[in-house]
Amino acid sequence: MPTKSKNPAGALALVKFLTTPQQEMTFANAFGVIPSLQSAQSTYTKTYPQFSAFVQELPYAHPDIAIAGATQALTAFDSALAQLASGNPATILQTAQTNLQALASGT
Amino acid sequence: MTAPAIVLLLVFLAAPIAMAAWVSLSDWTGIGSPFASGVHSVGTRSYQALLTQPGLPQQQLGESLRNNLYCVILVVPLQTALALGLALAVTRKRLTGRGFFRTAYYFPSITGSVAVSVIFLHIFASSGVVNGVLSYLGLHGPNWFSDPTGVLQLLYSGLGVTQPPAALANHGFLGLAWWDWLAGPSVAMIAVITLAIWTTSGTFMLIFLPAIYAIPAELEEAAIVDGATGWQRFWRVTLPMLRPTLFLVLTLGLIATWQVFDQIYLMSQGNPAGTTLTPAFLAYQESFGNQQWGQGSAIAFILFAIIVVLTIVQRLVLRDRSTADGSTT
Repeated sequence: MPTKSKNPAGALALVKFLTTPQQEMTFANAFGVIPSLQSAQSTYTKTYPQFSAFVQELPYAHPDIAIAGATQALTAFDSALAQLASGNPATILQTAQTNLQALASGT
Repeated sequence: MTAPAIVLLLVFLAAPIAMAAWVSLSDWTGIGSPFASGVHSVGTRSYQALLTQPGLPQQQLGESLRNNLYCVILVVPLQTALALGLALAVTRKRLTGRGFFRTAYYFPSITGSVAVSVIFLHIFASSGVVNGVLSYLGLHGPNWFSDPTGVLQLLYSGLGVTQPPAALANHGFLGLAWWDWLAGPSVAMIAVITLAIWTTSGTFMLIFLPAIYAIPAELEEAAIVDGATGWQRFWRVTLPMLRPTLFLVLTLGLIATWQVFDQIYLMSQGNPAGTTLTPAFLAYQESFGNQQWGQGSAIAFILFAIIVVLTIVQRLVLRDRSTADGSTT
């Protein structure tokens, strides 16, 4: 939501509406996206039992690190990985650790 | 009578610099005015994050300074030498088509940097002209813009040193190990350096031309009568007479090369593993890309300090050391 939006209350109400279980099931029926709310998952697995395996592995999924600035640190890590053949794995990992640690500790 | 000029200087030069200095000491998020009430001073936090605290900002600043340092070391001497060579070639006594050659050599400098960068992207593509010419010579050209290997590192591995000694790998400066500082410009940076030399030699050739025409012809003739060879005439007569112009060209080249931005923005955006990052581009990326306006401004001021120090050093090295009675030491 942009900070200078003219109707922040309306925008928030839209977000809340779009993430209700009924609306998420409507999306699932229309274009097949698995609902993000846990309360909608039992309805989803009843309607689409063939996709229940995907719902069952959700607790094992790990999202990307969600610290501010982590994207840049991970991009730098990716480009360092691209030179793994000529680089030192310990150095690459240590650099990534230093960078992400600095972000996680809030400096 | 100078009031309008002073007002313009204040409004368009002094005021933005002062505002940038304030932004580098504050936590402005880029929205609204930096002087609004919600923006607080955080002291030197941005400078500390860039210079003293280990982390990605410090590492990227180190990388950008290393890349730009090699760029300056390669570009400034080569473009000055090329400009001087072209200027001497164009001012020979007997030359047909002098105007054509002057225009041809100056043409790259007036072509817009966007057009030139796009063309060089195609020339240095992995199936482009440069690799085609190298294949005629039997060499396999690298994938220019995707190759982050440093040129000096290739040299070291050619001499048999593929892994760095512990002293160089474990210690460093600004988040980069000394081994990385000594890695030289990357293959991708070489393409950018070639572009920079090709584009700016024409301008500096144009600066050398009036200075060469101002050398009195009697000096050259006296040197020929004394039996000096062409090379000796160049080193002992022409070059000393061109000293002030040489200083100007070197200073302008230094200042411009430390600020190289458009070629990086258009061609590589810092890309193969941060080996074409430069401080000017990093300041842009931090401010407009990552919304870290304090750090972006701090990088700009660090760059300013570097340029000022180097210009003073260059002035000291190249100053005219004549004694009181006019004879030079």
